[in-house]
Amino acid sequence: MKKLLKIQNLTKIYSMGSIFSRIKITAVEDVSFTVNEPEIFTLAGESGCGKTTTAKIILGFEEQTSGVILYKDEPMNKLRLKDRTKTLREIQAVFQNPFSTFNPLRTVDSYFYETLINLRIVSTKKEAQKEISQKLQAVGLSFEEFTQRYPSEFSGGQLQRLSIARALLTDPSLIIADEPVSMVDASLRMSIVNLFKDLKEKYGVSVIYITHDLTTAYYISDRMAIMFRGNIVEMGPAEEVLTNPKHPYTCLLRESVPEPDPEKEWTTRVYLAESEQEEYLRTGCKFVARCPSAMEKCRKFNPPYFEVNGTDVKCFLYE
Amino acid sequence: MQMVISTRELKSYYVLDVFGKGKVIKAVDDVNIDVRENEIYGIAGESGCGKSTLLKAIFGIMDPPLRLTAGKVLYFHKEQVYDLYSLNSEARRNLRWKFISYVPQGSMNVLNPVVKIKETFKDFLDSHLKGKTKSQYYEMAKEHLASLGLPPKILEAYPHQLSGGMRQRVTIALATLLNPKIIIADEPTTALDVVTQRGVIQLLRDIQSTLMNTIVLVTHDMGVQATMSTRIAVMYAGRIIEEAPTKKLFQDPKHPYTGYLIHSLPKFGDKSRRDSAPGSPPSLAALPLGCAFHPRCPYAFERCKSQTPTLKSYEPDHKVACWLMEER
Repeated sequence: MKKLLKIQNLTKIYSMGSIFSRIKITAVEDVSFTVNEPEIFTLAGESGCGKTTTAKIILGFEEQTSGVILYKDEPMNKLRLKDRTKTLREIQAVFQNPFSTFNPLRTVDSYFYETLINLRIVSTKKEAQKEISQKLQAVGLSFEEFTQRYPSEFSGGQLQRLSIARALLTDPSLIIADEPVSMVDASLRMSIVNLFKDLKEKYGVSVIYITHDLTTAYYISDRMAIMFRGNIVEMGPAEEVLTNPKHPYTCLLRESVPEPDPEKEWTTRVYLAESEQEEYLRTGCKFVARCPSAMEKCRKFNPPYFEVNGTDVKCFLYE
Repeated sequence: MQMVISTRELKSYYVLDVFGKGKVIKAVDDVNIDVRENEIYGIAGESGCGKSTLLKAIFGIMDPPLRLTAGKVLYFHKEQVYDLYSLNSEARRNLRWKFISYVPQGSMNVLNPVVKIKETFKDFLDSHLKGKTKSQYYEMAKEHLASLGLPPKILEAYPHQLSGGMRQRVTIALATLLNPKIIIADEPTTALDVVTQRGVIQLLRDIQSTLMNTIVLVTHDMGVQATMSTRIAVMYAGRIIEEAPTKKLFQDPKHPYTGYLIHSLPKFGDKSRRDSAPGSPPSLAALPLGCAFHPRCPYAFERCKSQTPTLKSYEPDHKVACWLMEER
């Protein structure tokens, strides 16, 4: 398997507050992972765990404080300076809210023509039409129902398909999908999820799927990483991570998913953190205050990764 | 079992005036539900199916363009029957929060950002109980939070200092302040993380089991429905299309739409392909003739295209609105 994207020791620190009471929030801390070609890699975790920040750094919307991103063995920031359109072509994004992806006062097809012409993929309108109808077919829409229409004329599910089709226009090798199904109607959700699966199988596109929904992550991903307060706490094959979770946080997360099965009941109780801020600022393991098996050293030292059954776990329990 | 709320042929439409042309959105159409004492009644359905409007109609918030077109909402309180829409506003106000309370959607944003949580509690108690001193109100708020297992020190905090899950639990605490017989919760766990969601579900269930009251829970998340509700009604395009006890509904969904909703959910330990219902949900302003689901239904036949099925009991406690049931 070829390595498509390699991320090494990525860190992003945000400063908050005024000059007198400045605090530093480490949104992403020492994150390293690789994405092979083709595969669906999932970044999962609760809100504020740094998964979207990681995506933004890869897409170039934010700059990292430290760390390296290698795309096909070349550092990303150099690649961007050398040929910006090429990187735009290779890496595309699909965002969470399909209603805010498109400007309500512009027709949807104008985005498609713009993408094709600005990135110098085609030169005539005729070629563009051919290209667009091909890509629309891939997501299950027809060219006729799409021309000269405004975003308000489509449903949320259709708009999300359109934004996937738009991302496909450049024949990308990597799509970063940030919570692509959380705003889509329940009865249409799986059709979008299946679409990503098909893209990988038919077109060989790699996907970084960012989600908080572990059941869809289990359904489509090959490998996954669980993030907590800026750290990856567990990473490995999705099957192993979710059916046999090792890190206490992953166990808690896995157990808390409400399953569509009325027979299952929770027997234990959870304790929630009152405010998130103190967890970010902790020096040792960030989960220590809520961990049922916390030890003395967990408070003082940041645990390294230990390998257990092909997954990397950031926890002293597996030392 | 004792009933607490029931709706009779409830119809509630949004009547809009678009460029001189009248437009009617049938958000709640012909809904008959009976909510009983000591149960968690779930209302499931996707966005735009009218479930939030149904809650508004039950609670009596009718702001134009929303109008009550026909039907009744009955409250059963202290062996008396109240017809909600024939009461004056004073009488309605007296029932609110003592008999029925409401946790609105996105309720973690309802707290006033510029005052401390305890002020919100005080205002609340003051307008419903009257005639007590400030410190007595604070004392009551503290006791109430302690009984729900929430730290009383949050009373001194401003809303932005609390996490989303804590704010959500504060609003639930506010809604239960006067020990109401019914709590209506509109998507109380949406937009929360799974672990926080579990904390909120835990709180709601604790309240229900100590007060022995009723919760009407609206959420599109079938996983939450399965873990919380005792009885579920499924809504599609403004109508209730199926109603059954939770276990029965999950084991044997009768309506094709319910079937899709349940079988399309991925589960751990099962990677087989899941398909969602074809097509997309209809606009409430332009519903198809007959059964609203027929353009998406793989089993649709002639009758579905012209006649609208009504909700009928085919098995004890299991109601379905589908012509397929007649054919069997």
